[in-house]
Amino acid sequence: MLIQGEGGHYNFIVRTTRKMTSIIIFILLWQLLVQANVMSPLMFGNLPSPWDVSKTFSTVLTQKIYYYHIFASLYRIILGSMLALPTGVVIGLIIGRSKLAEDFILPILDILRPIPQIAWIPVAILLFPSVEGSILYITFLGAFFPILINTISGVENVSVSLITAARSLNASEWQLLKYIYFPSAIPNIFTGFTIGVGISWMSVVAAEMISGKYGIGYYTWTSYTLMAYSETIIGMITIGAMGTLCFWGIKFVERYCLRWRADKGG
Amino acid sequence: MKRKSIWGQYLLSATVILSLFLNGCGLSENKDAVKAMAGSKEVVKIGIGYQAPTAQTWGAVIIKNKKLYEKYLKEKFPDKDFEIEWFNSPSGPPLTNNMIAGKLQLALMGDMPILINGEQGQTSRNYKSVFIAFDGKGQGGKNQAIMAPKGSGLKINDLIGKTVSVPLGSSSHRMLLLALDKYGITDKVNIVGQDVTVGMTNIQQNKIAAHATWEPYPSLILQKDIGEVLLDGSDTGVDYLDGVVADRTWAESNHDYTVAFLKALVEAHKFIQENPSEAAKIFQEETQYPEEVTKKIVENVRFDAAIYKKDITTLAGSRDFLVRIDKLKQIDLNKFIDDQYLKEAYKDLGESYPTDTQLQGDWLPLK
Repeated sequence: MLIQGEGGHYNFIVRTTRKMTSIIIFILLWQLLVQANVMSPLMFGNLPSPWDVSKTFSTVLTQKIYYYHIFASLYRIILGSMLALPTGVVIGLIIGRSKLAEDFILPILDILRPIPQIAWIPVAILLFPSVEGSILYITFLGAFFPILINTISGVENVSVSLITAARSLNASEWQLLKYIYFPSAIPNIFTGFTIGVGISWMSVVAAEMISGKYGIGYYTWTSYTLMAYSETIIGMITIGAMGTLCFWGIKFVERYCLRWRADKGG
Repeated sequence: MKRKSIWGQYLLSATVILSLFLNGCGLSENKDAVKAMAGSKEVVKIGIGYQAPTAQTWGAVIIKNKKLYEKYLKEKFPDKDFEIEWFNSPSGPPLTNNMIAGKLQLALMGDMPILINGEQGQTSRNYKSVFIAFDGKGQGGKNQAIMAPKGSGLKINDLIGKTVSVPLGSSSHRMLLLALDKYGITDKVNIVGQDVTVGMTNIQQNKIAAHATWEPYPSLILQKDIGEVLLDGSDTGVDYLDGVVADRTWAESNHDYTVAFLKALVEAHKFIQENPSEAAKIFQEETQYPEEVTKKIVENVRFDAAIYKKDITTLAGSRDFLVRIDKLKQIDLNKFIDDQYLKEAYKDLGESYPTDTQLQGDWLPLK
C-alpha cells in the first residue's frame, strides 16, 4: 500500500523496470546455458534456446490455427471455472453452515480432491456424452476445489461479533447468510477463484490430450509427439502467459468488487 | 420450521446450479440440434478416431484431407447432411475409451489396441465392436524398429544386461520380445515400459540403451539424426498390422455408412499407391511430420484393407502374446472380424476383392 503514497508514479516505473529486467535475465540465462551446452548437473544443452524458440514463435504467430488453439482453451477454462464458481460457493456455504452437510458431503469431496486431473481422463470420457463435456469437466474440477475450500474457510472464519450483533437484531438464517456469511466470505471466494483458474490452466494439457482437435494443451502435447521441442515450449509459454492474464483479470475484478476493503484501510 | 425453509432454499439454489452445469455440458449438442432443425436436412454426425503418431493409420488422413467419406456418403444419401468429426489421439486406448462412451463410431489403431477393443466389445454390457478392415500393413514386421542412440554402434547381443524401453502391450513390444527370443537373450535384457515420446527423448539423451517403436518414429529419429537402427522389425518376420474397428451396434444399424467408409478407405489406399508424392504431401500437411519422413511411409507401408487368412493368424498370435503378458483374457476372433462390409465396398466400387482362394495365400501385389 505504501507504493500508492508519495512518489507512486516513480515507484511504478522502478518496479516495472525491475520486473522486466528479471525476465530478461531469465531468458539470457537460458540462452547462455543452452549455448554453452551445459550438460551437468542438468542437461540444458538438450533444450532449444530462446533464440530458436523465438524464431519458431514468429512463424507460429502468423498461423491462424495458433489463435484458434488459444481461443478453444480460453473458452473451456472460462466456462469450466464459471461453472465451478457458483457450484463451489453454494456447496461451500452449505458445508460451512451445516455440520450435517459437512459430515455427509465433505468426506466424498476430500477423497476426490487429491486426484490429479490427468487420472480423471478415462472416467471423464466414459461419463460425458460429448468430448467437450469431458474436457469441461476436467477444467471444472481444477477450479472447483480451491473455490470450495476457500468458501468453507471464509464462512467458518466470520467475525463472531458480527453474528452476535445480527442475531441480537433477530436476523433469520437467510438474512445471516445473505448479509453476513456470504459478503464476509467474498474475499476468500476470490482467493479460491484466483487459485482455481490457475489450476484450471494447469490442467489444460491433461484435459486437451483427449480433445482430438484444438486447444493449446492439445498443441503442446502433439508438438511433443512430433518431437518439436520449440513448439512444445511455445505451448508452455502460451499457457503460462494466458494463466497470468487471467490472474490479472480476476485481480482487477476483485479490486473493483472489494473497493470497500480499501476504504477500511485494509 | 424457519430453519427448514432456509435449507429448502439452499437445496433449490444448489439444484439450479447443478442443472446449469449439466446444461452447460450439453450445450454443444443443443446447438447442433438447433442447427439440424434450422436446415430441413437431417444432420448425421459420425466420429472417427485416428492416430497421427501411428503411420499405419494414415489411410484415415487421406480420407480426412480429401473428404472421401463425405463424398461416398453424399453419393448414397443426397438428402442428408453429414458432419464427420475427426479425432486425433496420441494412442489407441483413448480411442477405445471414446468408442465405449459412444463418441466415436469408427477408429483406426494398431493390432494390440484393436484386440483390447475387441475384448471390451465381447465383455461390456453397453458396447459391442467389430473389426472391419485393415489400413496399413508392415510386411514381416517392417515399419517397426529397435532404435539406439546415435553413434552407439550397438548390436542386438550388446543389449545383454542393458535396459530397453517399449510401450508395454504394443506391437513393438511383441516385436522386441520376438527379436530377443530369436537371439536367445530375452531373460538377459531389462525391459521397461515407456511411451514413444519418452523413449525417444531418452534415446536422444543417451539415457537408455534402446527403444522399440513404430513408424513414423524410426524415420523421424533418423531424420533428426539423433539415433540409429539397432534392429529392423522385419528381422522378426511377423507382420505388423493396423486396422479399423467399428462400434458394432452402430455399424449394424448403419450398414451403408459403414460400407461408405470402407469405400473411402479403399479409394484412399488406391490414391496413395497411384500418387505417392502427393500422398506424402498430404501426410505432411495433416500430421506435421517432415516430408522426408512421410515419403518413407508412402514407400514402406502397404496400405491394403483386405483381410487375408494370414492376417487373422497374425492377430491370433498377437492375442496369444497379450494373454501371455496378462493384458487380455480372451477374445473370439471369428466373432470379432467381419469382412462383409469390406467385400460390399469393393463390389460397390467395381473393384475385385481377392478371391477366397487368394485370401488363403500370400498378400497379392497391390495394383
